[in-house]
Amino acid sequence: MTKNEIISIIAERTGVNRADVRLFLDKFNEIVLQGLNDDQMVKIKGLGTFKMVSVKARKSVSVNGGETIEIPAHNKVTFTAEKIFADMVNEPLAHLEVVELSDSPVEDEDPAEEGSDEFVTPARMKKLSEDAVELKGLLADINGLPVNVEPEKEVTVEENTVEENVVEEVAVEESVVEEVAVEESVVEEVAVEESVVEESTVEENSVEESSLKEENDNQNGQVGEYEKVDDEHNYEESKKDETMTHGGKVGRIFLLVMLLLLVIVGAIYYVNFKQVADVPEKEAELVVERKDTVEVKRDTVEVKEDTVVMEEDKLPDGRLTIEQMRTMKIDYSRIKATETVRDGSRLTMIALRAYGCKEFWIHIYLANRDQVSNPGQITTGMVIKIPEIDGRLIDTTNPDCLQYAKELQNKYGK
Amino acid sequence: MPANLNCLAKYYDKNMNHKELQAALAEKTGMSQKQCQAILDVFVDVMRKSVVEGESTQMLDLGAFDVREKEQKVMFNPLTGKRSLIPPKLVVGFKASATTKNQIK
Repeated sequence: MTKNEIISIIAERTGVNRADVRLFLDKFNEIVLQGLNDDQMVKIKGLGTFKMVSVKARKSVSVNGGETIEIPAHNKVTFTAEKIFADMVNEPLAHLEVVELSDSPVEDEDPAEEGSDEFVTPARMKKLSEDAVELKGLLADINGLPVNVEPEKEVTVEENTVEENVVEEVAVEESVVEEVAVEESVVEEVAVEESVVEESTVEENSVEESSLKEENDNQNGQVGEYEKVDDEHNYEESKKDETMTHGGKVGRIFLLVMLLLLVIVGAIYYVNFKQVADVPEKEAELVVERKDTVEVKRDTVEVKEDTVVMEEDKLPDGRLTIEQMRTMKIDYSRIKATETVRDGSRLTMIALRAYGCKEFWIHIYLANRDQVSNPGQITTGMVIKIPEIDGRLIDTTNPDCLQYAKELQNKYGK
Repeated sequence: MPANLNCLAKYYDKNMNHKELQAALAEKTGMSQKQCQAILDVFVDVMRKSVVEGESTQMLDLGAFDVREKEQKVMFNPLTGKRSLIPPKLVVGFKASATTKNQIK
């Protein structure tokens, strides 16, 4: 719409001649500009407000040359429409109203999150079950036995005590039953020998020891059995943490464990009883020997437990659980590198560079406690020692590491 | 009149309202204020209609009005924790002409 069109419309509607309207509009233009310059603001009823805003000089980058140029201070005109005008302009879209999204998007997100959890869990379960199958296979190979029962740690401990009791009882019984048992033992000896042979062949672990005397074969068998138990126990230990995660299986496993406990106690009692009947004449020696072997067994059990721990260290992916980390002592004396604090340095940023994760700043702090009193304040020029830490403790893929670092932070970092 | 009141008067003078505009127009054109008012009303009406029709409208030599579309957006009210969808909107924009820019420097 040109100026002439406007003039003719106004002239038509108001009855003022065109020349006057033209003059009016020119003056209007002039006054508005004047008003802006003098008063910074001109209000026109029904239209809106023109405002003059001063803009400070600022630096910018030239689009073409990439050089920094300075945009000088200047004024600019802004316009704010009055409500009537704004409403008229917005009329085509005026029917649209503000929609509250209070719950629907949140609901949309929540199932997604839960879904992701659900996806994680089956995958993990699947992995565990695969591990379990693999371990079962290995155990079956080692023991030459199908592994269908899993004793717990307490089982072996109990067995030790049980067997001690048994041995003592046996010693008593032997002296009482001595004469009676002599004749019967001849018959039973054969059976015992057979069972011994079976056991020793079955349990490959005890094969090395099977070159010992026949009398000790039973005990070897037991040792072998212990080793087997220990193997299973290893397996169980490794599985224990995992089983905790799915509580549904705990009951079943507990039943299995109880069953195994009964079976093993029964077997040991049976074997010992056989031995009693077997060698009544050498009772004294036997008792001593058995006590020895019991000790030996205990040793082996302890040794086995050590190996258990070591094997657990090497568990899948070489990851440590948080319990293991808690028991570990971290050696902060070995220094990998040092870093001089610059302006704006933070322990977290140093940790990010050194270990790949901010959370492990606590290790750096613990190594520098002699000079850093408050982890939030490190002064410029300070030489921060970055300790060499076991890679398994700062494994960024292991959530337990982060958890442990946070625990340390709560313990020392405050 | 005390000096501080003068200062205040200067401060309040810092916006030209409609009455002042009318007075100034009447003075400069030699028309009556009523006539000025009538012409101005028609002018405003013409401008508004022209803008609403969707065209870019020259407002004399001052500059040009145009209609801009604001897209819809989601707003979050931190007090109530509610989110709301603000619908799209048509707003008036004004672009000062080169002459205006030069004159208000």
